[in-house]
Amino acid sequence: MTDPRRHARSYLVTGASSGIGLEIVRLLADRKHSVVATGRRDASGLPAHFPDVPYLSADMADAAQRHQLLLQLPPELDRAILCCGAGFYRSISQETAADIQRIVEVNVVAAIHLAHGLFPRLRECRGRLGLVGSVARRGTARMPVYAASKAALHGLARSLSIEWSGIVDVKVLDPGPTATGMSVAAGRPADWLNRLMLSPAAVAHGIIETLEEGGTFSRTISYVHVARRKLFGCAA
Amino acid sequence: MRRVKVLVIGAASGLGKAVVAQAAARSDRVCTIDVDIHAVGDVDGVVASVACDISDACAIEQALDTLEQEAPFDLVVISAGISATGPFEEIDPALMSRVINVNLTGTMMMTAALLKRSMIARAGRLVRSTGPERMRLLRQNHNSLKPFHFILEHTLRKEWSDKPTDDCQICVLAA
Repeated sequence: MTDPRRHARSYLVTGASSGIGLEIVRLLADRKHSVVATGRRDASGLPAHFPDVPYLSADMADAAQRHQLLLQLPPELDRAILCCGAGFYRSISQETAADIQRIVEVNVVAAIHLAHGLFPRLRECRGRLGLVGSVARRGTARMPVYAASKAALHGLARSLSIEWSGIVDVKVLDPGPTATGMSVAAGRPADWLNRLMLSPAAVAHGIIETLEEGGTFSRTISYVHVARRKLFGCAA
Repeated sequence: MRRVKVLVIGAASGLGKAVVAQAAARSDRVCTIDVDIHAVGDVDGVVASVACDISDACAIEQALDTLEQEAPFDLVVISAGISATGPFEEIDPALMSRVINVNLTGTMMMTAALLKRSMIARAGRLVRSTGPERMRLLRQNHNSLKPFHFILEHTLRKEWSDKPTDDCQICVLAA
């Protein structure tokens, strides 16, 4: 297994103002990597424990803001971890057209746009692209739009991992249920599952390390994955 | 005997056009939606045709307003779709966005609108045609986003399994 602390790398992390993205940025900053973080919030709205790294505010649902973000990024990047995500816990007949458009734009179109724009930088250093998906991509009742958008992200990663083989390593990393607060914001009622959710820090750790590994393009960051890492220091 | 009511979305070409021909041949009462409604042509059995870009939420509402009197449909086939092929990094992101907006967003907006308006008959069928998922093994073919359709079906099937008589059946056919 590669020790990510061995070499300082340059990272882009989207969805960095909260949840898993925030924990990824904190871990990378602790390990002295160079990080550019981006999220929808203004910099003034970042949490107090946000690390001292460059932060660019950009709404991933806005193509013009994504374009502007790509122009502002440093010319060299070793890694990009695309964490931003949106979704609601509701049936499809309760979804509005505007919400469907926003979820697909943030979860799928933004990933396509950024992957396209980041390709020259990542190719230059034989870099890695991590798309943060969800186990919901297998199909989850009452989250049809979110689940379907994550399935599309999975298809994108599969396609790019083949197409960019030997040029840029592409992985889709699917966390299991994680205690980020997103499920509450999405409208999912609290139940027993909330008590079993993975911590964002454990998932962030798993994402950073799994991105450095070889093997298949699709990996799950689950309870089993986290436990095995704790016990044996590596994933199954 | 009551004629089966069929709505075909993406009816001007390919599978959609073939479905229209088959449905008309068995004397179904057929309605069509397509961005290029002139390309649907005059087919016996087609009682209404409406122009609509399914990536446009307002256009969907207007199209369904027009077809509301023909509802509920026993069979709805969503066959609308476009593609972008070639090396990923050489395809214009705006074109790829358009593919997603039609194939993914448009499918979901149309499905949601049909259900909200109860335009699919009780125990009716909603069919989404798609490419074979195995196409994922081909390079430079961004039909690899097709798993989306299977997961949408899988999710809705799970959700509706509790009340099978209240809602329609959904299936995805890979061709």
